[in-house]
This record gives sequence, structure tokens and C-alpha cells, in this order.
Amino acid sequence: LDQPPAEELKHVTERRLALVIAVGQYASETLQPLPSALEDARGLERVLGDAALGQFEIRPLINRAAHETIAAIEDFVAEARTADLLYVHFSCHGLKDVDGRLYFAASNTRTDRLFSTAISAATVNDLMIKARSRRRVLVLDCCYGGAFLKGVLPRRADRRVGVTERFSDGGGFVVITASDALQYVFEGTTVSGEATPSVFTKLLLAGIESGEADEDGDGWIGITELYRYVNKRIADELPVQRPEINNFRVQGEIFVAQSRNVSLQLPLSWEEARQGGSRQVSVGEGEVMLSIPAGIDDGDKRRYPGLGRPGSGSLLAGDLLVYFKVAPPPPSVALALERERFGRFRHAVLGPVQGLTSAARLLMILAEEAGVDQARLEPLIVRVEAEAEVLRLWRENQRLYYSANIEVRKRRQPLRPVLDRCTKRVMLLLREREVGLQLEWRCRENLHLSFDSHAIDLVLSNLLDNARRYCFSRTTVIVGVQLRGPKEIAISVEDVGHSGPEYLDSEDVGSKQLFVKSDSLRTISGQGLGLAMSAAIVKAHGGRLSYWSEPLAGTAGTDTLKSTPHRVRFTFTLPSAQRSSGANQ
Amino acid sequence: MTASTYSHRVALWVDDDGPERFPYEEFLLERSGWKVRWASSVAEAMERLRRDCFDAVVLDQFLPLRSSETGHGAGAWGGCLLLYWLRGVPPPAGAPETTALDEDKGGNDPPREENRGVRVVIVSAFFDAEVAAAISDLPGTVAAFAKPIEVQALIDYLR
Repeated sequence: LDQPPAEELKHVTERRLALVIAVGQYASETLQPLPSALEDARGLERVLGDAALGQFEIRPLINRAAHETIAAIEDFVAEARTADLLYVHFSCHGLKDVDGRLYFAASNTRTDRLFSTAISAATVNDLMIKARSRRRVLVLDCCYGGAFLKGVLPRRADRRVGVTERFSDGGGFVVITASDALQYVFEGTTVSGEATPSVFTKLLLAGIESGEADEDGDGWIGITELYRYVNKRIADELPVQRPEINNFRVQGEIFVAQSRNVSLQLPLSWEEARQGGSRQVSVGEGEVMLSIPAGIDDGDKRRYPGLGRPGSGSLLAGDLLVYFKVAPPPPSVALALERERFGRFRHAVLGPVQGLTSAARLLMILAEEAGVDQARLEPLIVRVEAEAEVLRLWRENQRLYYSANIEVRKRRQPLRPVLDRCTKRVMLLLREREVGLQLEWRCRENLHLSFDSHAIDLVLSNLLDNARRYCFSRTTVIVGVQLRGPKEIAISVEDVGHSGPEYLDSEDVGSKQLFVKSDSLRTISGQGLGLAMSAAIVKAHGGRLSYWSEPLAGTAGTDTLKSTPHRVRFTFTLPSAQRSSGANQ
Repeated sequence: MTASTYSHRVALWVDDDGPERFPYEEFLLERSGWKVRWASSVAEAMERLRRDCFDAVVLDQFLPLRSSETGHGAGAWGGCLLLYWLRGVPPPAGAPETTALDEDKGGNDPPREENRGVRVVIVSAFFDAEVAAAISDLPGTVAAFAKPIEVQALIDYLR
């Protein structure tokens, strides 16, 4: 099956940029060295830069002078785009002048010349609020100078102004401080010898690395989740230190990292399997990894410690080698889980994973039996593919859902390859339900439009998946492309099945609040996310998504459900401004 | 027809995910002498439990009341409501009503008497603590299995 790599959709949403400023060495003898600052920087680079965790592009700025640091911050914010997420982390001494104004110490800072040799908090504030990015995070693991006392470094306290008071403007701006003005910040216990990260940054990194900061178990660690985690843990380790968080005009949560607790990657498509590489599906302790039949190497064993042990196995199905390790929590553990833990992904993810693991395990049994009928394997392989497609869509939709806004990169290109790719992908899955697929191309086939192919791929995939799930068996799904007036192309997906929910607006799906970003997500399963994301993508292209249905004669369905079949059609439009696009009726 | 008329034992598996998500579990159960019948909602299961006898019931905790529901209207109570009805125990206050279910098919009529004490396994990807506590107080044998199901343990339990 042919599907775009998940990474390629990233540009639709955001770049994740992190500037890590760490100053551990100071020219001035009045400022103690901070070896923990450099350790902080290394940890942040490792964790925030991890492709499976923070996914940030990291710019480290180590032991730089004040003017260099200010210039680097200005470059950093100037290059930011609206959709980008900016993360700036200070790990250094914090100092105050006689008027109580806050400065961050640089390598050349003189405590008696703060204005010209240190980095003013006001300057940082000004630069951060000037950034075009709507989502900015500033983390200040800084102190007010001082000396070690029994392994901890007390910082000068001042009652007049706190760190967070300096950062008071700009939309979508979160500031986290290791402590406020009245507290000290504590580093590791040694100055010489092995450097250790500061307690605050150490906990921050631990919360991300372990996944423990992912409170709601949705697979993402939000900045407020991370703050709550650090705040709680720091109270255990150093009760006197109280981190603070301030949100300025932040709507929703800013996600700083993915969580290893719910690491969900997609199984291989057939094409990918043939080309090499490997992917895994992992939820809790159970995981399935699909890979080409290259055998288990040491890297696999490190990544999947269950491989080769009882409870794990592998099977060869066609060209695909399936490794699996399924370790469900025992009922006693499951009973103890809180509702929140599995809330968001419970039905969206665990159902497909159940189907995928079950099919994979049966495939393994059958593959080991002599003379097994290939025809018996095929439905199971299709089932694996079907579940993988559901998970892929869920992941892509969720990625967009958690983005502050959706930006599309339009490029003039032919529409046909995208349609072919999406219909090919869903073909096998429809066949599983004995559903046919028909492509009705009612305009010139070399139609060129200006659109984002990966985003429109997701829209079409969502609509086709919707049709696949809600159509009746032994019907046909029709994908149609036609001109609608002189300036629009309409692409429709039509099926015969259950009618859509009442909340769908017939004219403009995007005009309804289909998907509510709140607790209600936990009480429903699978309604609306794909459609809402599709509507948003179409809207970003200047088009609209609409819904139409009509009841048909007769009944269909199961013994207990006699449902009136409906002809259901979702149509989205894309602008086609130039007649030279090649479209005609 | 009763369960004893089969040479094998018969389990009713009630899960809106359907048999396609449990091919391995069904395969191993059948190898162990079980025949699995499927229902996708509380209403469909009630109908089958009025009509046929079963040796075991495997019940998803999160279950729609009717097959036409695409969500989980009764939430964590869906499967448990069926269990209350099966055991003849009134559900606790606050649980959704089932009396209006499939009135043309018997409404809230009781199950076959032979099914009253049938062995029941509740399965779920997640157990709601409140519901889990409630079902542990019910009469008869009820076991809880987490999804993905350790099917050999399930077979051992049913044996």
C-alpha cells in the first residue's frame, strides 16, 4: 500500500524550534561556575531534540557573551513563522540590579555592570513578544547569584519583583520559572567532579523521558502537564523550591513532547516493507513491530527487549516479517487504572491495536502450520492493513488537532495521483467488506490544481475511511471529480449506508463545532475528529466541505438493526481559478 | 435448542468491535472446543440470550445499547447493564435504563432461565473503577480480562 510518510505532513502544522542558553563558565570571579548549566544543555539537546520525544530543532548557545546571546535570540525569533512553536530555555545565574530589575548572567557579565554585560529580562521579553509565532515557551532555570552552602546554591532573594512579573505581554506565551523571587534555586550537590543537572531541569527532562508527565495518557506532554509534574516532584525533593507558571493569552495546551508512555508509530505498509525499514505499534507494555524479513538484529533486541523471550514471536506473512510482543497488563492492574489514563485514546487506538495484534498472532500460528492455505492468510493480512490505516489516520488527525493552526503549502500539481494513491490504499480494506470502489472522473484527467498534496491526501483518506466504516456490505463507494462552476473543482465520496449524525450541517461541515476539544472527547468514540480536521484543511485551501444524504427505499443491516439505508455524500471543493488548469466538463 | 445439543460448548461474545478484531481469540477458543457466537450490542445480546442457551458469555464493558449506536451511549455501563439483566438484579441507581430496548423483540423480558447463572467474563481495554466495584458485588461468577486478551488464560478460566 502506498502512503505518504507521516513526517511529510509536519510542514502543514509547525516547526518546533528550541534555543537552549546555558552559561556555566563566568569570567567574573564574583559569579560561581555552574557546571549543572552545561549538563542541563546536554540533557535538553538530547531529550527535546529526540525525534520520538520533543522533536525540536535545537540551537545550543553555550557560555556566550551577553551581546552574542541577545543577537542569537533576536535571530531566533525573527526567523519564526506563525505556526512555529518556540521554546527558549535559560540555565544560568539570575541577577537583579539595585532597582530590582532582572538580568541573566552571560559569560562576560560583571555584577557591577549588569546593564552592559548581562542580558536584561526586559530585552528577552521584548524579543519574545515580537515573535510572529503564536506559541512561545520560556523556561527560566536561573538564580540570583550566591554561594554554595552544604551542596546547595542559595540565590539572593528580593521581595520587590519576581521573575514572572517581567514577562507580561504577548499572546500565546508561557513562562515557567524554577522558582520565584522569594526563593532560591538549587543545583546538584557538587561543584567539582561529575556535573549534574539542576534539580529543576533534571525533573523536567525526567518527566519527558519517562513519559510520566503525560498525565492524561494522550501521548503528548503539554507544557502545563510538564509544569505540574515538575512542581509535584520538586516538592518531594526540595520542598522549599516552588516553580511557577504563567500563561499569557494561551488558548489550549502547548505540547512540548510526545510521550513514550503511548508511543504510537505505524506499522509498515507493504511498499515500505518491501523497501526496508521498520515501524512499531506500541501501547503500554504490548507492542507489535512489523519489519522486512531481515532477522532480528542487536538493535532490534535493544529496542524491543521482549523479542526472543517467551511471549514474543515472529512470523513471515508474504514479504512481511511480523515481530510481536504482547504483554497486556493483568486484570488487577487494569482495574487500578484511572479513567483519565486511557481516556483519549482508549477507543480510538486500543480497538485497532486489539485487531492488529489478534490478526498478527493468528497469522503466526497459521504460518507455522504446514500446507496452510494462502487464501486463509489474506483476510488476516488485510485486517492488519486495515487497522494500520485506522491508526495512521488517527495519528495524523490528532497531530493536526493538537496544532494551534493549520497551514497548507499549496503547489500547482496534478490531482489524479493523489486520488489514485488514496483509492488504491482503501481498495483492499473495502474488499474486506465486499464493497466496491468506483472512480468517476468527470473532467479532464490531467487536471492541475494548487493544493497541498499531503493535506488533501489526509482529507480524502478520512472521507474514504468514513465511507468504509459506515457503508453497507455489497455496496459501492463512488469517488467523483467534477467542475462546479468556473472556479471550483468538487471532489466527492459517496456511499450507501447509515445516515450521518444529525449535527452535520448540509452546506458547510466546517461551520459546525464537530469536534469539541474538551472532556466530551472521552465520552464519544470516533465521531468527528477526521471530519473536523478535513474541514479545516479544506478551509485552509479556500474550499469547503459539505454533507448531503437521502434515504433510500428498503431496509438493511443486521437481524436486530433494521436501518433505512441512506445515500451519503461528502463533497469538498478546491479553488480552480485559472481556466488553463486543464479542467473541462 | 440448548447449549447441550452441541458437541462443543457455546460462548456468546458481545463486543461492538465484532469478530474481525478477535480472529486469534476465536481461533484458539474453537481449537479448545468452543463455538463462538457474536453480538454487537446489549439489545442484540439480550435477544440471543432469550433465544439460545450458552455455556459462557464474554462481555465487553463499553458497549452500545443498540447496534445502531456508533458510540457508547451507556458508557462504562453498557456491558454491565446486560449482566444485571442476565442475573435478574436491578441495576444501581444512576445506571441508564434498558426497558425501552427493542420493544418489538421482547423489551426487557428475561433471558432463558438456563442462562441466568452462566459464567461471565467482562473484557475491557480499560476498567472503570466504579463499574468494576459494582460488578464484583454481583451474584455468580464474573471475571475481568484486559484487552488485548490473554486468550490462553481466558480458555483456562472457562475450562
